[in-house]
Amino acid sequence: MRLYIKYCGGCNPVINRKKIVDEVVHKLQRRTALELVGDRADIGLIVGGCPVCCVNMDEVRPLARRLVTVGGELVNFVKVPIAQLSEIIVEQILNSFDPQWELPEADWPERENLPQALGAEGKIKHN
Amino acid sequence: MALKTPQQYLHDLRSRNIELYMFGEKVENYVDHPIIRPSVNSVAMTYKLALDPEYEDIMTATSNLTGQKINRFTHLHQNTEDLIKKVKMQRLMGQKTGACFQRCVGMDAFNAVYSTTYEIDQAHGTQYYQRFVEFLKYVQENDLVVDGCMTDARGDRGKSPAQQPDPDAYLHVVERREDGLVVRGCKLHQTGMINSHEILVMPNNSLKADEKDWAVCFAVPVDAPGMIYVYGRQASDTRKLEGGNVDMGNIHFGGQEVMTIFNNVFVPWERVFMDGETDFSTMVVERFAGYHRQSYGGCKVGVGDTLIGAAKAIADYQGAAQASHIKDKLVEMCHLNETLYGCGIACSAEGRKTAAGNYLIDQLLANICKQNVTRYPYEIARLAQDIAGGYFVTMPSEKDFNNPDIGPLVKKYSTTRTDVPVEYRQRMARLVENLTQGSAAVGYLTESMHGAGSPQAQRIMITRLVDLEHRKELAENLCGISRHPDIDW
Repeated sequence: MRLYIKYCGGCNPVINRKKIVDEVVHKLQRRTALELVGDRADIGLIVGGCPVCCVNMDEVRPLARRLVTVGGELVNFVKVPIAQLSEIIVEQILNSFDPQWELPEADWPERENLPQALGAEGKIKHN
Repeated sequence: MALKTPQQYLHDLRSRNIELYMFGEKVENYVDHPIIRPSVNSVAMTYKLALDPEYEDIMTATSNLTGQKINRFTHLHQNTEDLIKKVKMQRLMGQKTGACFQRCVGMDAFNAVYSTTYEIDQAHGTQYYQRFVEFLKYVQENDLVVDGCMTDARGDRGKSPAQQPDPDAYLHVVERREDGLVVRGCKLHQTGMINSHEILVMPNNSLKADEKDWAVCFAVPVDAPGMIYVYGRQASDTRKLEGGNVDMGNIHFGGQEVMTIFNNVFVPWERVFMDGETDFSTMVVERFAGYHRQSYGGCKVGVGDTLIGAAKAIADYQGAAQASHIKDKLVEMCHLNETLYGCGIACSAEGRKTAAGNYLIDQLLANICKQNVTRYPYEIARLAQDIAGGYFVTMPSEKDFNNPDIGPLVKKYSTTRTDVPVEYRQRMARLVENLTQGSAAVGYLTESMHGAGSPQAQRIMITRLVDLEHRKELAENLCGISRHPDIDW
């Protein structure tokens, strides 16, 4: 699975975004072959620190086939117990992913139309 | 090089020789000076976070001038979302530094000068706008820090610039040459000046038609010949020279204030963005002030977050966290802090497009925002001191805690909860002190009072912007005084 992770700016988080993402990545790695990418992803994981989740979705949407959105304690707009947050995110990601997906170039928008600010040049760094 | 690293920024600062004085002596290596370095670190954090995927969404933007990814601190707002993200960015920076990070003033100046030069050119047929665009491209492409520079020394407050016994009381043009201008004067309260690459100077206030020499807007490098800087004294500043770090409160970050003297400084024409257009002095001043009043709804909120956190922590450490009045005071602190944030967001959401195309905040709401900022941080600080207790002014120094003879006794009588290390209380109390009456109180309190204009400046703007006659008419309609009391369904 090619996973794209996009954080909000983190000005007023009610969750520890980095900790949640680390848990999600760790759990996904145990269940599927995971590649973290900056573009042409199977799943885009949007990690907002609060329910506002102010990431510009119009800019992010072209970068992944499907999005899973986290906004504080909301996963895809539904409130979940914070203790189960990473587990529920993992389930949402796996449920959204179709292992049969391939990556025909025609499925993707023209690269030059993508905003340069999104790091469309390649893989993102994930520590 | 659209985004610099913190290391590249520090290299920039080290690679020049500015004329800076402190305690009566010239400072040779100011970047590593223990009193100054915390303020350098605060600016460097603007570079670090822009490169971090966790924060890049609000720390960066796409330039409308070059199409490149740039630090948001060099951005021209293209819509209300940009205005909102600016406030969020400032809150984040306040949280990460607990201090003034100095870079917003340049951003506010860019946006004010960009739209004003466009309108000057429309009215006067001048070429300022394109000059400024070229300057801003240079800033964006090299990820520069720019000090937006407005407040003059101002001499006798009862006299306008041209009436002053000393014309240098307000920065002005002293010579017009074939290749540019020569200016002289002094700008005060320049927080980020010596940590900047460039200075963007604007006039201080509305000017009369015969005050053309004071209607000047330009940019020069911080190390331009004739620039002299004198570092401001602040409470507890020499604690940074004592060794150790506990008594500093904030161990890495800080702010500063600098007196900036322009002693016959040459400005080439390509860096001149206003020269004599007194009819636009009010526009550039009000736009800059409006943006900067919006800024305080972000930066001071972020610092407030750290002070609320410090109050919560010290209540925990001292075993008082469960007391109902402590909980209530923490709620009140949050209420005040989030009210400021609400004002910052509101004036951004209600922003509008200028003729030049960038977005301007709602002036009324920005002034309301700043008016609240002149008050609420003081109340938040009062509540923090209330919760912390008086110990932070009685607490012995770090050296006393470490003294082999009296240290054990000092620790014994500084112990609160036995499961909390005494050093935790010591450090947190010093942070509360730092933010509420130490060197960081300059940024959190005095800047809140006077930065972006003292309280009366906002009240003048509020008076000008609110339509009281409309409100009077609303009341007269309700109580039947108006001429058509029947409802026209």
